[in-house]
Amino acid sequence: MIKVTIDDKRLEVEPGTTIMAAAEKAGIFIPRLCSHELLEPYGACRVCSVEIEQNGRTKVVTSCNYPIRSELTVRTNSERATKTRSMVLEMMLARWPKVKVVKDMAAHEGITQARFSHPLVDNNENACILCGRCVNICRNGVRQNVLSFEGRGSSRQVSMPYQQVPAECVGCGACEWICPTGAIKMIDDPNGSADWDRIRRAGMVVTRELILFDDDQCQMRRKGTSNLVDVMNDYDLLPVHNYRFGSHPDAKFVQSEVFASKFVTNGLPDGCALGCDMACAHAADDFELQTGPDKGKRVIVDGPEYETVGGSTNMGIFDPRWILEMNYYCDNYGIDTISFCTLMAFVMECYENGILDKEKTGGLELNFGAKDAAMEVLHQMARGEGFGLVAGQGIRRMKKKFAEEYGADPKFLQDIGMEAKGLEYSEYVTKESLAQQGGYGIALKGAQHDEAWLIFMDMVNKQIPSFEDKAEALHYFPMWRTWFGLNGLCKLPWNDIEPEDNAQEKEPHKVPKHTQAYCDFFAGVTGREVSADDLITMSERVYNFQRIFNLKMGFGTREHDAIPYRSVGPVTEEEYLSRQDRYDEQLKELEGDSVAGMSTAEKLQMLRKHREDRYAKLLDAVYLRRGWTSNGIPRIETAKKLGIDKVDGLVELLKEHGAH
Amino acid sequence: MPILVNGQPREWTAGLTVSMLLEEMKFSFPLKTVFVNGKRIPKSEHSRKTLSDGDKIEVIHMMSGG
Amino acid sequence: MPKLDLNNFKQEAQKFRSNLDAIPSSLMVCHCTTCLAAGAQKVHQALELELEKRNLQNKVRVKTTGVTAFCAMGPVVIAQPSGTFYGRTRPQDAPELIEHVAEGKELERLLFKDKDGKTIARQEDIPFVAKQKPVVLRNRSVLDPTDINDAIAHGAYEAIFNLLKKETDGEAIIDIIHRSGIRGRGGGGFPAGLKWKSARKAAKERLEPVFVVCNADEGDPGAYMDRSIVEADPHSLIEGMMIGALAVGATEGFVYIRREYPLALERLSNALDQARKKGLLGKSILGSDFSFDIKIHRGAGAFVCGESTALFASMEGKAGEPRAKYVHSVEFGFRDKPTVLNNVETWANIAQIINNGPEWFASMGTGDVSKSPWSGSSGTKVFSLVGNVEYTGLVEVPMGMTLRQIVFDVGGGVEGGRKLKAVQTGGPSGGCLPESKLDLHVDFDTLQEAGSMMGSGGLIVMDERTCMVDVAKYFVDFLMGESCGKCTPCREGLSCLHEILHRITEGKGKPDDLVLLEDLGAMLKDGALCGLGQTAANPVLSTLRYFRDEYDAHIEQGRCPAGVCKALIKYTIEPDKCTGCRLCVKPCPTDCISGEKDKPHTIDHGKCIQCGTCMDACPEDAIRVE
Repeated sequence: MIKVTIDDKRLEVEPGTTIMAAAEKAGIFIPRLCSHELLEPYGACRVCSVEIEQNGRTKVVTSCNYPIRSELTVRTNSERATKTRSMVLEMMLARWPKVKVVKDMAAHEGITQARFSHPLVDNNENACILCGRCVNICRNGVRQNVLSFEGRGSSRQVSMPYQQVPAECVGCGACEWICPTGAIKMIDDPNGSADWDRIRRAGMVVTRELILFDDDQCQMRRKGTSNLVDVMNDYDLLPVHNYRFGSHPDAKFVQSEVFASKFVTNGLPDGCALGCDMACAHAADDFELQTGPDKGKRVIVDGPEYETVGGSTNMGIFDPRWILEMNYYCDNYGIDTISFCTLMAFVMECYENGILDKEKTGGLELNFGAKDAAMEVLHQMARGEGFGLVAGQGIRRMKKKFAEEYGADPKFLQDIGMEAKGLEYSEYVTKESLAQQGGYGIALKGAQHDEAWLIFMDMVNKQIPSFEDKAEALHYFPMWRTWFGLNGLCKLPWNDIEPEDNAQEKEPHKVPKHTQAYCDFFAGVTGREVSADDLITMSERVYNFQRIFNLKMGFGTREHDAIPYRSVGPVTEEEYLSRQDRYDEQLKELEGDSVAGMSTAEKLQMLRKHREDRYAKLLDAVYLRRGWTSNGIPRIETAKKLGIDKVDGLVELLKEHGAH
Repeated sequence: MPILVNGQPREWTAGLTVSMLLEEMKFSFPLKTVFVNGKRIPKSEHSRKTLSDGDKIEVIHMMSGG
Repeated sequence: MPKLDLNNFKQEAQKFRSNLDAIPSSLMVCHCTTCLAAGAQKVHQALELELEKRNLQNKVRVKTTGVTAFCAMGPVVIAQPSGTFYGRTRPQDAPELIEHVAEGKELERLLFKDKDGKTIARQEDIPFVAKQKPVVLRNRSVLDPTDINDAIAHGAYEAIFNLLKKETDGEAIIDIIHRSGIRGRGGGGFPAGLKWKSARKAAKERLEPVFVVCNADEGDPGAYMDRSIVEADPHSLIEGMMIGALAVGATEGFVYIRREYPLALERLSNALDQARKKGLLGKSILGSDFSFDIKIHRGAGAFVCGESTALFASMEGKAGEPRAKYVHSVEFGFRDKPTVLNNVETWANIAQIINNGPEWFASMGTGDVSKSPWSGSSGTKVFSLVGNVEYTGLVEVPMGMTLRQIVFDVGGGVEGGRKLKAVQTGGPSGGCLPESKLDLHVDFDTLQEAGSMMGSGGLIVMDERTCMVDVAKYFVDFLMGESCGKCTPCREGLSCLHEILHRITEGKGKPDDLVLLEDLGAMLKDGALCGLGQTAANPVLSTLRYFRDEYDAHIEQGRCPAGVCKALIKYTIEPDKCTGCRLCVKPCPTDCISGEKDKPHTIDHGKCIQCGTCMDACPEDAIRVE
């Protein structure tokens, strides 16, 4: 902490605090113009000039960007400071005599009329005063770089490239919003929304938070979703060796900072969604490929996202370059990185268990961590050759093949083959979160976490202890997330950035302020007022219809919501022993001290029974909450309530499956 | 008497601060809010706030999406 | 070209020297921008042709050199080893010149003649040169800048060779530089040793790369010190940067040079290529484990890009606008990494300091820098001496010489014997010092105290015919065009200053204008963002300080004492002197002079635009300014 005296008020501040921030802390207001809470200090208007004294020497500095690094005396109203400020404002008043903010600030310094005429006098009330706020929010805040200054000296002006509105300008309105003089006016909404202003205001809620808080929160702008690699490893949730474990010491080689500082060179919006100022997708430029058809080429790799890294650790691979290469080929072959990684992790476990051998893999040694062989399988998959033809069919078909043709134990394959409804699991270890097991199992598209990610609420925060609590979460979140899909929106700005006071909300995990922003957005587009509950109802209608569609296609009953035991608890003794304390403790709570004398195999069995029972009870609770039968089928009254019962043949289909 | 962290008992040592506790628990996720006996402790005070024996601590991780 | 290494360097250098010595007699044709413009290339060709014709290639060499002492006398040819100076040479002089040189004689008619008509043969004996002390310019008229072998024969890369051979530690190098007391020659006068130390420390602490950068964005009107150094001795700059890189631990260096310097650019790229081929740049320099290379970054000619933070922004591909320097660029400079930025002249001194020792360097100049570089200004300084002075050109003198010595002893005094009015130092944002300040010792601190500055070494002599208000307006006009416009004080302040100065030169000044000028000046000094803005009012403030009466004359009496401000002057023809020769009538663009032939003429003041053409045309000195 450093001692500062500002106008005879003494205080202590952290090193690096700006004079302006320190003055605010001391309750002293320093006038400003180009400075704004959403902007990096720019130091251009000089209205915030103050005089400082340090080691007996005095000078005038701008308080917005002067970092306090050693003991300092600041005078905001010394003669020199005041003179500088007044003269700056007098000149501005001479040039822009009708602009309100200039008049007001000058009047505050006691100037109502400039002593001289300005050669470039502009009598417009809404004249641009060149403060640069719009340019800076567009460049550093929204990161679109649409606005810029052009010309030098007295011919400086704000402009767009070639003085035309470029495609990159999505009309977010941040520039208009931040302009202190009203010099910027939005042109008409080309999309004809009901209330464009309202949409822009809703957008600014998130834009503001991204600018202010993202660096301290998830760093979505700097690191993107890969920020989660480090977090998941810390919470024992990062899949390692086909979900057997949740962390690994080598995870440090692939943590987000490695990618952010060594590989990702492109910190700009990648156009995933035009105008998105979260811009979490990143790219590694100039990356040299080591294998495959593009070997030796220097390419841009879009990514990696968290799942791609987590998938790699799931295979026991901790090499950032390998991950980028795999990411590149998956993208270019049209293969999903999650499915590839998860099925390869399954293949590797089968190989380690002798279910597969070199003969069956065409000579490839596919132990955990076998990165070159894994990459070869990827190329084979794309070419439709060799073992790639087997692996490329996915886990569900591999399980069948390995049991039927290689004589493997189908029960073991079912336990470790991480898929549900035929879709490979995404990359989270769910063993300690029952709610999340449900999140994967009940999801309509298969084992994906994007309907509900409840691990923290459930496992860490212990916010949803009862079956009813979990069922409620497994109702609300999947419905809410469905709403994003219905509206073609990304969910990341909803809760990967949060308002500063979110923790004080009654239901902070729902991020109520953002939910309201989405309501405003919806109303702004359609002209229809909606409440947060209305959004859920919209989804519920679609969600139930989708479930019924699944039913029609042969996937919509309780049996299809079953999940492999690897996602519920330890399958092998090795797994049990790796987290023995945790499991023993849990068994002790359930069964008392009798557990002490049991063998690992017995404990494993006991734990399994308990956990499988719990999962069954969870399904019951969720079905009940959703208005479904115990076989997981929407009840007819549910369909009626949601108004989907009029669809031809729908009620008949439900009845056919025993719904009532 | 132990402290309770998200309902789980945990050993208390004198001088334990919120920051130290979070580090011990490996609670590295950035979007979290700490309550001690129901009172919210802002991030800036984590390193200064010492915990007393028997304190009830809630560390609420704000992620429910994925 | 075989690569040099720590084992063969000395022998190779010796070989180059022997090659040189084999034909000691040479004609050095100056290929500086000025001489080339005056036709040096043709003179060079004619000399070579003549040499061939007479089959004297084994006796005399014709070589290129970068700069000589006298820019005003181009094309210049210097005969070596005698050092005989031939000015204003023409291709047709070649036969005679070759003949004389081959016979060891001097060609009298092309030799230099001083004011009194006395012939001076050797360049070093010409008073303009004799009073100088060339360190940075020591190789002028001697070295062929296009040939690295020639440079090595003259001692280039000896310093870096010795440092690498002795495996000298970076901190030891910094200590030498620090003890020499050398301060940045680009204008700021910050001690180089301190700068290097901070950069090295910051890089070590933050485990980050560090860069060395050369500022060759010389932009002051009339100043061409850096250009000449690069043109004449590019290897001195390269070697200096190598030493800097070795000292701070850099592997990458950059030269930021203006695109308007095509010749310097060509010489530098050529020198870099040759150095790379010799193994003096790139990986494992001279076979050591020191790797370093230099890239050229071409500036687009914005004056403000000479300011460090704007220069870095420009190098990063952004608009060349400065940012606050509250966090020093030596710690967070180019790409936010620790960066040592010195100008050409500073870098060009470095190898000499290593070769001759810090004490040698400190022995030149003012103050005792053995304790702290801040307590004096050591070494020499190159100035471009221009304006109303008898001899114009680049001069290198020890720090501490008085302005009077520079103007009168070196420069030969005011042109045409007129009265001196002011000396302007420090480029456009420097200040104008009056005759009474001529005995000031020129160093960083003294000039600053007097309200001017050293700048990068511009020195403009102004005689009595100069209007100081007009001078102030000229510089403000220049700076107004070069202001980037980012900060309010500079953008608006210069416009307002210009408006007021314009008004005064038009005779429309108001009594309060001087207060306004002072207020605006103070505001710029305190309020502007970068060095350009903070010093932009210097021309106004220094002229106000020393020549206030001229301002008063403009405002109160509507009179321009120097007879420069057109709105305030009147040309009249003195009837006694006018012979009616009519030589003034034809050139007058407005046909305002009339009269009968052989009788005194008159000027119609309604039509006269005060262009002064008539005054220049009059052979009788009959036209007067009022």
